[in-house]
Amino acid sequence: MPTERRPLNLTLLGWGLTVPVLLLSAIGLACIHVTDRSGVAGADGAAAQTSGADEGWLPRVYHAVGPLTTRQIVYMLTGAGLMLLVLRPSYQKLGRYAYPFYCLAVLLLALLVLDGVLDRFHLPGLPFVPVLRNTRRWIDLGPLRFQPSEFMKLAFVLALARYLRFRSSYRRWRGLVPPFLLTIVPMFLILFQPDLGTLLMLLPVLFSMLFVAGARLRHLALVVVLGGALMPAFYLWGMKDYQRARIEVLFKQGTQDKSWQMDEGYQLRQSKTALGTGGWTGQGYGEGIFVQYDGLLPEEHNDFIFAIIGHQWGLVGGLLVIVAYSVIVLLGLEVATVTNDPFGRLLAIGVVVMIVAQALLNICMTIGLAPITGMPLPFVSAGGSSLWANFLALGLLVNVAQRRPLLIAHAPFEYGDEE
Amino acid sequence: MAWSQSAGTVACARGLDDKDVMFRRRLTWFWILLTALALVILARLAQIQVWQQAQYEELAARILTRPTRYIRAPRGTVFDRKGRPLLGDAPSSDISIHYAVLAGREEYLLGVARALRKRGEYAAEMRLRDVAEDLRGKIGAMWQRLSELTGLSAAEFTARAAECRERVDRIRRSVQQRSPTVRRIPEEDHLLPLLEDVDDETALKVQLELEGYPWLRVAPGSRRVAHQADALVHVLGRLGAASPELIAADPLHADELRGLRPGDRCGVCGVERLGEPALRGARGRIVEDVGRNILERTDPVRGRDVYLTIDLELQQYVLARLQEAVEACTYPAGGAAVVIDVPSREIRALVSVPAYSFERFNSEYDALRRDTKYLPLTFRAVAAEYPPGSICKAICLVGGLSEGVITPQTTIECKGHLLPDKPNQFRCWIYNQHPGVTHGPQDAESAVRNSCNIYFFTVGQMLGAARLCEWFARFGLGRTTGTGLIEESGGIVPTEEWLTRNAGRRFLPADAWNFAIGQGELTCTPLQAANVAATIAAGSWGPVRLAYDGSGQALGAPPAPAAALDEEAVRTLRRGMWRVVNERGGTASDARLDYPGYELCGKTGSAQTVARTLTWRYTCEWPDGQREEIVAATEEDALAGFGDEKPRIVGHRAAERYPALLEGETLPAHAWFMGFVQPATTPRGRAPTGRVYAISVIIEFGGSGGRVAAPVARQIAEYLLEQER
Repeated sequence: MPTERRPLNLTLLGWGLTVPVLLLSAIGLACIHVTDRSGVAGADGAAAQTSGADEGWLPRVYHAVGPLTTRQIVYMLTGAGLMLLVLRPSYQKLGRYAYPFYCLAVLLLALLVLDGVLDRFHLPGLPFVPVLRNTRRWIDLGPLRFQPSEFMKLAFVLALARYLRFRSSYRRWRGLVPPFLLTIVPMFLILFQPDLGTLLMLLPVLFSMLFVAGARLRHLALVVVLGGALMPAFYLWGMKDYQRARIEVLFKQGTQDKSWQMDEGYQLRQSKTALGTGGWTGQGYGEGIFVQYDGLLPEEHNDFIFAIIGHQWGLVGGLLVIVAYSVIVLLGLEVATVTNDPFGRLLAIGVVVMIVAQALLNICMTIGLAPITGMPLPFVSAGGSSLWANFLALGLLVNVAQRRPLLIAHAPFEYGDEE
Repeated sequence: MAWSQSAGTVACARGLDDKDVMFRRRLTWFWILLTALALVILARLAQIQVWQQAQYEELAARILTRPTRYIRAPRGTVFDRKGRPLLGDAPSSDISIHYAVLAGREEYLLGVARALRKRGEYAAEMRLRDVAEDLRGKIGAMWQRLSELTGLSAAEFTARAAECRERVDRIRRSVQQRSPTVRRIPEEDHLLPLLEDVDDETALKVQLELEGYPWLRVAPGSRRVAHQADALVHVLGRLGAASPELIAADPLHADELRGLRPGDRCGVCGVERLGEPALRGARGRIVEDVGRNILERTDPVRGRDVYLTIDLELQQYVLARLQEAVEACTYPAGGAAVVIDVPSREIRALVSVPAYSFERFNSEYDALRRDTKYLPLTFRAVAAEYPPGSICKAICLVGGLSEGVITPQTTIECKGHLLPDKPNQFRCWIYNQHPGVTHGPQDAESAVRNSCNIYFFTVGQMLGAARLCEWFARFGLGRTTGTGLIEESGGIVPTEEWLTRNAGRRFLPADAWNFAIGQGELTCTPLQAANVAATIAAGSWGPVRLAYDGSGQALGAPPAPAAALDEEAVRTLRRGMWRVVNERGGTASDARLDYPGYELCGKTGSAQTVARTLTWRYTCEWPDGQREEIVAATEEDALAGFGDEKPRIVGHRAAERYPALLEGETLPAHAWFMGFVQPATTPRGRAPTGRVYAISVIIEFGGSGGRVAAPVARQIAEYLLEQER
């Protein structure tokens, strides 16, 4: 029997993971609610949409809570439902579907690319692929709209873990090819959306999973060095102007040249100002100009929600968020340690890195340490796909924690570092 | 580390902790990396939120403030000397358009599309780019409809749109010159004035039909309206866009509220320009926060009024008489007349013919500009330079007497020509008209009365050209009179230096003869001629005045000190000028006043001149040496017919002239008269007191000053006296 219920303390370890996640979700919900202005008077003095006084209590509550907030609550509840759903079957059973799941996600991404190709040749596009802000990231099935790339990340973690679990081939150069192929295919498809942030998120997952699986350090280091050496060429020829400008902004922000605040740096200037005016303890919940006026901070409940947190609760609030992610990392790595099933171990590492890398990149871009790419803050930002994918990932993590380790097994990934 | 000394129960249960060496070590590295990253982030957060907090508070205050809005200040009114309003602001409507539409900026359209879709004007399931495509179609239809509603051609709108866009692009270029990294300037998100002074009906139509589009706005503005002031069209001038040059030259340039800014309208000529500092006022300012709460509000201050010294009724009368006189000429071309109140040196009338109406200026500007035959846009009274002809003899006489080269009794005999052996050169006008007839011996007074050329040739020769020119300058020729009008010309009084530079020669003996009778390089304006008459009447030169602001401060040049003349010499001249008009046989005896108690003194002039060239025959040469001739009004017109490759102009000569003379006809001279009205009780030759007016009249190609210009002066004088009785 491969799996069995585990002792209580390990179950507790798994469920302990939900504590920081709930905290982050609550913070996110509070920030989304306070900046939820749809139907409220904006900074331009636009007339408020009147919520009819004669309506029943349900619409009134809906208006009081706010449409965006309500939607986020629904996403959270369904997300939590999905999480509970993936808890029931053992993660090893789910792992058998890793490749089909991966193929499905690739197929969905390919559909987005296909729509772009059709458009290039002036053919009618696919009806369920909306073009938003000149990007093709969503699949729209009427009531259900989601981003395939979010689920791709999860499918990628599953597939990679599945591939690496019993092998040691990746300790040779040739054996590294399949894992990299598994990564490059979705990266290539996401490049066409385009969504640079999500695309780059696959790399830390790949490297960390190979790393803990025992790939040779010199191989990984060489790949990193080669990739780094290619960066200048990519910067010069592979990037669009606006992408280059976003990188240049990072180097201009500390200098006397204030022109960076005008165009590409506008968002960064606003987010840093929101954070800077927060100070130690912040302006207070619902206080501060960035909360009270619409339009000052773009993407305030999405990519830049961390600035709203810092604006309202100051350095303390930011610290709390970082601590919450640290707890997820701590407990997640603990889960990886206590299981001795190679698949579970890799899955746990992949999920943790997937969540924490996103969080790090999001925070870094908010504070001017990384170029601005559309990247939600996991569990905090508004948005269904990201939330569902993260809750599913969390479910897998808890699932791993809840299964008893194999009693008789070879300890996986023990190669000794430098032989 | 949590996992390396992992919870005892777990580790023991598995009994695997001795085997997980590599895995744990690698996790430790992993943890170290993440901790380091977290620390970097924390440090950065602390930098922003703690160390730089004050700096960001300041930035937030700026972000919170919207760009300052300005409110146009009403411009002051221009009145005539009796308080009749001539030019004032009247309400009208302006139509403005968003720059992004002119520049075809895609993201603006998408933004509008999103807003309209959100507002429910488009179905929610429509794609934004489809909505934007639809909007693009609406913009095209909008231009069409605007053209129909306003009656302006589509081409006109294209030109205006290009002009608006160019204005913003110019500002951006100048901004980028200072800070090259700026990509977008605030003006690119502004509504720009596309049409100003739209009448109410059109504005309402546009508002009803088109204002649903956020990129178009009909807003109340104001326009400048003239009240029955067409007679003053040259004097009042007009408004125009504040050019970079005007802005740079504006003394209030640095003042945020009073200084000119790009996009403003300001006086570009005439009194509008002269009175600009007074008329402009101070714009209002509104500073709002992002919630549209007003943080600071300064109301606009209306400009001060300006009062002209001109009398509208007199101006209208003079214009009518002058028009009649010009039209009566064989070759009507134009003319000018000026009336100055001598004691105050205020201009009472400043008339140029042909004039045009304010309305015509707006509707037929191009035709007016291209009219080289009548040159209606020329403000002749102050800007046209004419050879002064015989009116200069008055100055020559004062010069000769003051310098002592002659006395009033010195007699010079007129033999019809100056040089005994050359009867065809330097002749007297009487000898020209009636061969063999001469004036005989002439003293100072009779020489003025008869305008004897031989007498003044001789006096000029005695003085010498250089000294003569100094005397012209003492009477105010060669420099402006002090009105401050931008159009005003100083005329030419040659000096040694001027001749070297412009004619490549020094003074010649013949210059003294020519200048003495007002020919040669010498030129003056009708305003200067009137001021010469005023100078003679008053006995001293003084600057003239055209306008005062509300506080009584004169506009224009600072007052120059009056320069007194030798009174004895001027008395002789005045007696001569009295005889010109009031004695039988005087050159202007036709102009004797028929008005009790007043008399006119003056000096006529018939200034020989050249015909006006209407078109030129340009010789053009192609690079291959081939030549061709083109007839056109200007070089620019001549080359306009060619494409990008243009020939070089190597020469030109007059093609069509005006007046085009018939065979055997001689070119009529410009008819001049200058003089002054004085009370009849004034002792002969004394400086008159009481009501004294100086008048100058010129009628281009009018012929004899005495017969053509002097009667106009008489009519003006009689009207003046009657009106002011």
